[in-house]
Amino acid sequence: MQPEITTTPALEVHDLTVAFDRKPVLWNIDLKLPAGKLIGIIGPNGAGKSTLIKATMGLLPLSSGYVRLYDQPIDNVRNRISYVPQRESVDWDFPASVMDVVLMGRYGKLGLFRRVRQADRDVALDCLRKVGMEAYANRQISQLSGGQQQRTFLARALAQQADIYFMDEPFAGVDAATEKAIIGLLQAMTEAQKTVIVVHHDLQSVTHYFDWVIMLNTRLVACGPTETTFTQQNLQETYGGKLTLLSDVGDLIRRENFPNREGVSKPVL
Amino acid sequence: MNTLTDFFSFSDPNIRFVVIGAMLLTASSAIVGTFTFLHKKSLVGDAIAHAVLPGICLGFILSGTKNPAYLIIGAFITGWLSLAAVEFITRRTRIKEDTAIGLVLSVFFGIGIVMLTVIQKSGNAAQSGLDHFLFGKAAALVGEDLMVFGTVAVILLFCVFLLFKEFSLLAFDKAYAQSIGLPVRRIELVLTSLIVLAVVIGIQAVGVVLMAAILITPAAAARFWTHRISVMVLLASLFGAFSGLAGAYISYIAPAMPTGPWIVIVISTIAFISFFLAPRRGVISRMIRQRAIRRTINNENVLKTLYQLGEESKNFFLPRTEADIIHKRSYPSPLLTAVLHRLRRQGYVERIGTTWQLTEEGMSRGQRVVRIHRLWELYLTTHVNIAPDHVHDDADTIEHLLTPELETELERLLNYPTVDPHQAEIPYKKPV
Ligand SMILES: Nc1ncnc2c1ncn2[C@@H]1O[C@H](COP(=O)(O)OP(=O)(O)OP(=O)(O)O)[C@@H](O)[C@H]1O
Ligand SMILES: [Mg+2]
Repeated sequence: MQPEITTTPALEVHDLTVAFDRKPVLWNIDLKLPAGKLIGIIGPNGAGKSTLIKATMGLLPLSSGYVRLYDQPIDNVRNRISYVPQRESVDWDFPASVMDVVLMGRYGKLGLFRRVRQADRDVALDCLRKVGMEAYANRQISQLSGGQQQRTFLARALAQQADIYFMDEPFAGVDAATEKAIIGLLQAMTEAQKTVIVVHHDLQSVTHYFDWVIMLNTRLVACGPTETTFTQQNLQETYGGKLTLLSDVGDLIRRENFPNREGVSKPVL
Repeated sequence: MNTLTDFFSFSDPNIRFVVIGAMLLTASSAIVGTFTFLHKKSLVGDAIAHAVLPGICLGFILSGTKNPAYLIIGAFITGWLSLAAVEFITRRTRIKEDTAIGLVLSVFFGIGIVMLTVIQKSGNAAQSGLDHFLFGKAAALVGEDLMVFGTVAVILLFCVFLLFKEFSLLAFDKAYAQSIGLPVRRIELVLTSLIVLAVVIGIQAVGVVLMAAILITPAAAARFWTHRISVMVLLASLFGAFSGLAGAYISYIAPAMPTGPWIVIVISTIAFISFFLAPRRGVISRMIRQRAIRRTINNENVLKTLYQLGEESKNFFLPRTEADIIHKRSYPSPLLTAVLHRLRRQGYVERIGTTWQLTEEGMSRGQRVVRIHRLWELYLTTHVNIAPDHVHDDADTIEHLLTPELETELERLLNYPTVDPHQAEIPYKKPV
């Protein structure tokens, strides 16, 4: 189903299943992503897009499968990955300035115990400039609008100077002009062989924005270059008709207290 | 006799012990407490405070002495166990964290009280004073205690200094911290150990029951005054140290007064004052800002009414009676009089006998309000697709709020229209 990637894939996900409270919300995901592409993840609410990103980054326990980045286990390449969480995932009434948040992007490089240096501030300011937020560097984060919060998170991710970026809905609450500017930025990054994976909701813009798409609805519907993958039929399969059977079985697993993916056996379908 | 100078000369070694001990305790638990507060673990602090009691009793039973080292080890162990129990319950069952904390707190505390009673009934002479851990014994601190407190305070400060950025990041965005590969579990382990340590030491001054107050209250008070974590930590420790000093002083001048509870009363008062007085976040400054906004709205509404009266009679500078104004738009009469007098002082109207007349400036300000109101109505109908009969109330608020920059932008966006959705003229300033 998926075209072969000749070079080492930036990301390989193999037979990944993730469950919450025993109920699987992602079933047997298999995919390989090439380096240097702008890749969209699309799917309806609750499809498991955020879960896929988090599981890939090792933030959630896997029920089965494995993830490799640049052909290595994730913990070996932590300093090459960067994450933009969904904006609502943090409490913005936290005593910190925009600059403080962007500087967090440097913590991975700094390591434990070390203090932030002037050079880190330079990088942070540069990243703020890229997202058009340099004027807000000293603003309290509790006083930001939704779009500004989003751009702050983006600047923090940029400050990591990573090779692969996972962004969960970076355009939520961002105005059209800013969205254009950010997409330009992301495209420039992919030209420099960075891989950028973006959860996206606006189907209109998918073909303009992304080189590749991952179409997801609890299971993987399709993954590949946008021209060949983003088809009417795949869209129908992703968004049309609820996967009632799959979710019913998931509920059953929880209700019956079924063992959670013992060994390598496949879930009963 | 001057108690104040007696006290602050610290010539009496007992006073020295009490004051230094109390300040060390309160300041260091305030520093750790700031992170407890930011990690939203305030309740956990309370649970630990109650859960160390059985550990203290156990330490006494096993060692047979009140040597603080044994008691602290015991306290540390059960404090930790209680946290493990909370985590186990929230992970493995459907019970939510707050319920789990309540459960663990009462079970551990209950066991502690039972053990304490058993020890007291046992007739062991060494046990006298063990119940100090319930309510604290700050006034009876001795040199030996200071050594222990000092050591612990240094450990706490050192750890917080080393892990400052990690603690902050974890409190703000744990998933992100994990994604960049920080050893999140281990850092949390350190923080929890620090909380347990601070509690174990702190209860010797204020006791189990009041411990959560000296852990969390300084941080809560400090939060009102600052938006920066480093400043917040500093302020919290200052507030804590001050309450320690004040508590010690109060029980010095009135020996019947217990030090621990007074420390808590002082720190609570500081929190209370912060709640009312702090700039921006405090209640009073918010009230003042609200009041200023209400005044502006009243001022502008009256100017708007005078302007509209002027539109009707095609003369903006006719003198109007208060009845004229109320006829156009109803105001409570005393309010209107007060507002008009204020407007006169500000130079927007003049008083002629019992009538009022717009000045040039008043006319132009009234005109601006009317202009923004109508522009906004137009904007809502043409750009936001809201029905013309729904836009009035919105515009009534916006007219007082819009900055000159936004006003210009609105005019440009709408291309300087001349009439609003209700066909009323949109007035512009005449070029002079
Ligand atoms: N912490 C959790 N505990 C239990 N269930 C969860 C948890 N997080 C997510 N889920 C469930 O997993 C499924 C997938 O959630 P996920 O957040 O990945 O969806 P999504 O595709 O990102 O949706 P959206 O577009 O709304 O962001 C949902 O059915 C959700 O209810
Ligand atoms: Mg999501």
